[in-house]
Amino acid sequence: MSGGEISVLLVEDDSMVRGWVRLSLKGSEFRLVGEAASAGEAVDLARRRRPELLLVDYRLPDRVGTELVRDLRREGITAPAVLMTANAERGFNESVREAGAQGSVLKTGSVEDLLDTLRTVVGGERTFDYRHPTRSPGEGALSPREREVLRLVAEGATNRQIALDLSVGDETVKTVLARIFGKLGVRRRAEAVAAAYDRGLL
Amino acid sequence: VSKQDGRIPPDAADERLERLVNTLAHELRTPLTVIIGYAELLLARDDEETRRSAPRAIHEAALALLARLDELTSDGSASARTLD
Repeated sequence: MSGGEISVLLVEDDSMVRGWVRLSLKGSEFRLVGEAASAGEAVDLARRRRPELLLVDYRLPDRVGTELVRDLRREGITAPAVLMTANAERGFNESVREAGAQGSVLKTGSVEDLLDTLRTVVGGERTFDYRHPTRSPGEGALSPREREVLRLVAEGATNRQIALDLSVGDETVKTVLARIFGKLGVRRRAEAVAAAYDRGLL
Repeated sequence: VSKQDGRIPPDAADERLERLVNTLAHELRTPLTVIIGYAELLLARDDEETRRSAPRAIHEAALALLARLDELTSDGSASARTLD
């Protein structure tokens, strides 16, 4: 593997989605070292290629993605894993955590969501898609980016000011804020700041 | 299933309906996600590979979506109407 690239094993049974992920990762620091259409294929490929990151669909033909992650952990494959699913499902994030995976991302077609999730996980953090209704709102910790955005909100910055400060787009700020709201189980900026302080997240 | 009259108890019926709706939503969301994803790449990037592959992938995913919708109808009339 060349310097700076992160090897990824993609496990996804839908060839159209595999094509989209492949193209989405082009030009990024992530490099696909294998594509599996089933959990069985994934175990074999993971053993042989030892990827640094696993991107796994939840609904596979022979097993659910969380079970695959458990199997891989038993095989001694400790690469961080991100679970993908098309539907927002209650308790999904808890299941992903319990399986020993480090992140989840809803398949919405957003390249930014996908890359942001992979980067967070590769950076050693955990991140779970806020759109999956949680069993216990506010349980998940905030990622560094989320903490950074919330800290600026606490200082009274507008979305535009936050976007300029962090050199990102306005939509990214909105997305991160929505994720924060979901994690904290709140609906307003002031509530988010208060909840984060209460829980020692800021 | 109730032993008395063979009907499914309300809670079990709700769960089955929820599972069915989730499965249908997943079936329809997947090609839709592919369409959105490739369209986003087309809007954001200007490289030859994206310009070449994205329209074909969008077309393929749109046809897959139509086919899955057709499977939900008994006579494939959704496709017939669209192609009229």
